[in-house]
Amino acid sequence: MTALARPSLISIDAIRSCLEGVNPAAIATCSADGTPNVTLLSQVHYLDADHVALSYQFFNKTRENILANPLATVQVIDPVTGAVYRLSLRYLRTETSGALFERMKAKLAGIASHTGMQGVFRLLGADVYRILEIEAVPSRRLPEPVARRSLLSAARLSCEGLAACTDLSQLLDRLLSDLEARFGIDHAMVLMLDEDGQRLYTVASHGYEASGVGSEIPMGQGVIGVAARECTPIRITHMTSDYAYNRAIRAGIDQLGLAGALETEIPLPGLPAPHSQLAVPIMAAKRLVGILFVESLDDLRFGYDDEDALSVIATQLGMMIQLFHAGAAGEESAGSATRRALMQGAAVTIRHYAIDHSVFIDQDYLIKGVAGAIFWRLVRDYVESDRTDFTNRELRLDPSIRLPEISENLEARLVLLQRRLVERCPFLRIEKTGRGRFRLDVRRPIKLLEMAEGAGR
Amino acid sequence: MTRNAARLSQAHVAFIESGGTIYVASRDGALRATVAYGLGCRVSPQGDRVAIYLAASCCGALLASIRETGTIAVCFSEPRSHRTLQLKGNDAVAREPAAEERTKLPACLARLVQKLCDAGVPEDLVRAVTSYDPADLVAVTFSPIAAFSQTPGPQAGSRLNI
Repeated sequence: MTALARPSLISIDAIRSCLEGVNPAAIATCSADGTPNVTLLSQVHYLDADHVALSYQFFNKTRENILANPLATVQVIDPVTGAVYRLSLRYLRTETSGALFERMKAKLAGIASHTGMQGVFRLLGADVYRILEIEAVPSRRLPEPVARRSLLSAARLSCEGLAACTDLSQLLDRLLSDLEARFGIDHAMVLMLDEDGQRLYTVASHGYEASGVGSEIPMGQGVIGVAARECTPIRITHMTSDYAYNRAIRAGIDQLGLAGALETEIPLPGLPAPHSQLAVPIMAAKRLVGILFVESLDDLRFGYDDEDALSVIATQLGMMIQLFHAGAAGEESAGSATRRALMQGAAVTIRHYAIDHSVFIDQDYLIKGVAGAIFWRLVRDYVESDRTDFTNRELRLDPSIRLPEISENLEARLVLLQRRLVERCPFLRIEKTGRGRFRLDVRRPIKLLEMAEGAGR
Repeated sequence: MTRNAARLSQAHVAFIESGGTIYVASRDGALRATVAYGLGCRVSPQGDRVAIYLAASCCGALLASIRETGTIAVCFSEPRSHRTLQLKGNDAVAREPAAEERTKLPACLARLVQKLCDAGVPEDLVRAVTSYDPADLVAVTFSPIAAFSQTPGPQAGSRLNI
């Protein structure tokens, strides 16, 4: 078998559909004393054009063998055409944390649930192997089905559309409508990383009963949180309860009742039982900006190619977000015009709790954090000096809002605030009036009530 | 590994012949292991010899390794329950299947097709993977000298009494 030294003629990129864990693979190894061993393998993961990673779940004979003799052969099958391939591999190393490990762990959770092995399959490590050769095993193959769409074309057109957007709100709307129209993705959301890097907040969503704009998820929790923490796409191809992000926590909070306390949690949007989930990091200049998350009620809805396509789009998103941020220096700075719109209805009381900048419109929670601080600043200026026109620039410089210099978050927070107002407070609107300028449109009389530090809700 | 050929228990024989998936491995003189899937199997009435049937065109390297070293490892797995058993031997030989073996293989394959379909694998896919040219059929026989449980879990790999 001199072919082992030759570069492979079949590329692993071309047979990634065999690596979704639909059918188990088989691995053959050999001990130092020459005894072969063969066993089934739940996951062969595509790493790059020259490497795959195999799931290490138990310390078994396979494991013992590859540590002594790194050569192995893995046989995989295409779940649609039945094409069979044999991969000659050489074991390199085992990773027990980090991006690759987390990607395989999440995927294994889906595979385990699908095969009735939840609680049995547990990833101890990701064994990385170099691909020496790929052999196509002669076999009868079923015809390749006609693809429903060209992901490459969809990605290109979407990127062109995103590149033409002029602000974040437009960018997010365009993204979500393109995901549906060009990719057939009905459930999607975008979350942005908050200022201290501890949480992500939903800034736009599509396909859910409630938008969930403003809802938060901690770093490291669920598919979204893990993708954010590791800055790597996380993809699950079958339903699993292992990654049911925060609905259980949410239910617990609801059950407690917390009598007297006003709710400041916005429910995270999401399908109650997603079968496929994919979270892709949005990066700008190597920094995490947010997460693009999509999900589906179908098994195996998102494959390696979908992950690649959405990663391309996320790259474009990150670049555009960075561009908007860089362009903020040229924002117009004038803007103190006043305009009192026609008032209707009884006065509402807007309460602001300084402790966390949470804002309530009468009894109803609106927003908190940076977006709450921004909102409070706007309504205060409105009430105290009749101001309705503002600039992003003055908010950026306002010490009471405390935005970090490097953050792209002002735009995102304004979009979030604007969308929460549309949903919860239709008589107060934020309207864009120019580059880096916007207007607060107030249609009911408002009264402000500042609750001091330490004031309970 | 003991060198004495053993008789497989009736329970093992029943499981092996029940029609689960079969994967066969051997290794060459340079300790390179290879693998191929089997189409069916049969245990001798005495329980001391196991025959695996394969499509020769799908397993050239495996047959070459068997000729070179005689080593073999075969895993039998029940698709739904994941119950898996591995047998090992070191006297494997490849030969032409007898006429009687050819006659019995379709019934064996039908059990495999049924089990895979029951486990949710699409039938057309199962039929494609299990199709073979009778002229291409080869039998590999060996005397099992060790058996191991490979059912997923912490006990995977434990040695069983044959």
